Amino acid sequence: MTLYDENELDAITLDSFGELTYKVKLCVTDGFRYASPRKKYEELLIKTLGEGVYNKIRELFFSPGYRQKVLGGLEKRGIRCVTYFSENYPESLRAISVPPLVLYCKGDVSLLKERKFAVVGSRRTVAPVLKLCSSMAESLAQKFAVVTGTAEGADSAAARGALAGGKLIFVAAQGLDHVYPAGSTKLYKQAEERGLVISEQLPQTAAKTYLFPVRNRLIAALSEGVLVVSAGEKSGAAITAEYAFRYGKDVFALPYSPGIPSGTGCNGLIKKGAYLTENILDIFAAYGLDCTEREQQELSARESAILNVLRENGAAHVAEIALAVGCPAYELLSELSALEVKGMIVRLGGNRYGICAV
Amino acid sequence: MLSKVISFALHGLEGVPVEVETDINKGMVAYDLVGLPDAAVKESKERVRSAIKNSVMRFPVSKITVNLAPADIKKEGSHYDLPIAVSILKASDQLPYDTDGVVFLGELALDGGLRAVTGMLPMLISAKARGFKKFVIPAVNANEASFIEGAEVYALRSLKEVAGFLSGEMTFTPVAHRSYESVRRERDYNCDLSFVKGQRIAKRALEIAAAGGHNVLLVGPPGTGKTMLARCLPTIMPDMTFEEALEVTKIHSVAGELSEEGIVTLRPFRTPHHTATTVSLCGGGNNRVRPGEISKAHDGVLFLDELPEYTRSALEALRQPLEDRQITVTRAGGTATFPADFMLCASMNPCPCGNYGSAELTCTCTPAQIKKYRAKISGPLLDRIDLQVEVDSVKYDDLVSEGAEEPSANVKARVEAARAVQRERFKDEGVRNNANMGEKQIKRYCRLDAGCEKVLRAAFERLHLSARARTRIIKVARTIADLDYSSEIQPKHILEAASYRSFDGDAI
Repeated sequence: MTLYDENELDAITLDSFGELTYKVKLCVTDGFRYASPRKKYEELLIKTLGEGVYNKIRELFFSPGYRQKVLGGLEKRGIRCVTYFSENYPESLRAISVPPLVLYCKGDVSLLKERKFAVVGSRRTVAPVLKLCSSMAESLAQKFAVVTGTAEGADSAAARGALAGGKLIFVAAQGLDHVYPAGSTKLYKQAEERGLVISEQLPQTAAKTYLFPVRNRLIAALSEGVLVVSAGEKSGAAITAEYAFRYGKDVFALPYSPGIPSGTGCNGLIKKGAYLTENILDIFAAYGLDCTEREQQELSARESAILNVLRENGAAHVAEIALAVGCPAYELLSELSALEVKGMIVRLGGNRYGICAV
Repeated sequence: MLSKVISFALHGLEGVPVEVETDINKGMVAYDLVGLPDAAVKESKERVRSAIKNSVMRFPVSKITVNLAPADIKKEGSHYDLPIAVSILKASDQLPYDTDGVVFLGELALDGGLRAVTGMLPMLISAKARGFKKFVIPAVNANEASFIEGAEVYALRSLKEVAGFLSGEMTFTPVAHRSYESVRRERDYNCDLSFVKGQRIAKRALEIAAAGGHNVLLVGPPGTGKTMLARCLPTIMPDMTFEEALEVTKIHSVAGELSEEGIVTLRPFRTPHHTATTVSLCGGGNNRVRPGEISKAHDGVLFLDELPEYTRSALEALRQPLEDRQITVTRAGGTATFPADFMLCASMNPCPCGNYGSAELTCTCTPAQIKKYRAKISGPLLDRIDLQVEVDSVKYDDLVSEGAEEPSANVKARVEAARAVQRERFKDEGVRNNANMGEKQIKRYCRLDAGCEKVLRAAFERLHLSARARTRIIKVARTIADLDYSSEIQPKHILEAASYRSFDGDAI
């Protein structure tokens, strides 16, 4: 059985009363925490809840049977709780005005203590950016635990990249009993096995639209910086960035040419003072990290030639590369695959290839 | 009087001898046809009556009983007209000649003329195999019959000529034997790879597909020449041998789709529309089971345009024939096995709007939409499609100005060389090409050295390939190595094979 200390147990028990509002919970926690005159809070609670409910909750709260039941339920689900009073509770969360009382976690809890960086984006992200997002997340995961949401599109792409690179913190808006969006069960499973899935909602809570901004605040609060790879006019990624600005975090955004719907939000962020980011170097430079650690790959002459062509153009069609390198297109396929395997270029669809950052 | 005449019934691609017996008795005037005839055979009664009368002969006015034996096989088709007529004429003593060992096949017109019948070639082949040497058939079917060596085939124009032939009043020479080589005209397909500009990657993929017999999926936006490319596929496949041509002709003859030439010399290219039903693809029919599109595409190409638009059941029905290279169709009326060793070539758009991966146009589909669209093709079917290649919309012909496009003939030469290597390799294995390799053959002929293993492992980890992609990649790598005249698979072959996988890994 996982061991929680008394404060943690109190917090978990308290959080299990789904009908209590955050404010009430906060009152009670403060009451326990500082052992201040309990009377004052009791009066407030009775006022807000009514005496019957208060008494019932009070009774349950101190009943060992109920606590056992709550802990048993969590354990059965394989959930480890990290509470406001836990040692491994992320410091950055304590700094915000509404820190979650309990984080319900599945996976490697120690990731919460790592340096964290968020990668978020819109669901309608164009294909090349998805690939870029994935490869940037992969590079970021060498240095940070990558924090991202569970949505399709950019978030999932970032999650996949982070899983390949190493460290992923997957922040769900709904309780951990549910999978949202439908069809991402496999990704959740991988995240649980090789990273960390967290949620501040009770496990049985289903996904609701209003929970997503609440979750976005958590992503922004957890991370040192936020990379926004794509964002529409009114997208969740823009909300995350807003929170990040408010919490004084660094915001990085990819630039877009005008007229691309999934890029207006990003350009707006840059206008507001986000870092214009073109590749992973821009982010690492801001933190004084160097990324030459990526082992120097041995390249054949033709592979270097391909890389040079791609460096000049950013992305190119196989026929273009073939023309520049001076050999039949199909002969390039094995080299292109090799570079892809080495993680230096990405496929953009339609026989086009793009260079990865770095 | 009693008479017996030999004809044949079709059972799948097999001919079964049928004895047409006629008995003419005194008694109430009647004309009965027994022995499980279907509607077309029953109607032959009236055709035979008119044909005999119009051939200046007498239709007997007595009690006539015609029996088609064996009585337990359902008789279908119109080719019993001639044997029935001959049998009646014999029984009524108008043709008192010996017809032992002569097989009669043909449909009668009311004026006594002989009309073409379907399935002539398979019936003749079966009959010859059963020891029959002499045949009387309609003149219009002469071309079809001329490829059978050592048979005495008389192609006649009318019932009158048949009577003259039997009595010896008229003399006819048997149909002259034609060799396959003499009719195999210069291959004049309407397409040629040199007509397709650019698309070097897709062309290379088609070359590999033709060389190894791999199935291929072309993914690309609308209007990028997917269909055009697919039509070129038969032009780069090796020429059909006589045996192959005969097999294909048999199928087409049974299906009634044979051209006047009488033999199929070009590899079939079938394009069933996506509204095609499972039965029309796989074969079926109430009484006589007929071959479906997959059998008509035997030794050729089955092209399914807009793959996701086909019904799920139709696509799933292809899985078993793709594996077994033949199909056994079972109906209440009987069971028939048809060969179905076709190459599947399919095409589809990359996403519902068609612009995914395009350089100029923006794709407006959400990932969920794309996923849903692609999920219409089931995993097990995709497993059987070794090459998945992207056909792009971008016009790069102005970029690729280095010279003329390669004609199909050059590609075909390379394909034939690679096929020869495979024939040599698999001569004792019962496998025809790399695509048909089973686990045993893969283990034996696709040994990977340490370098290849390393590359393959790295590719799997980095490109997030599924486990089922492994066999596919190895098979394709084997073919690429064959095209490269390399006895061992090298890392570069593996890597090239790994690039034909637009559906696998982290595509979306």
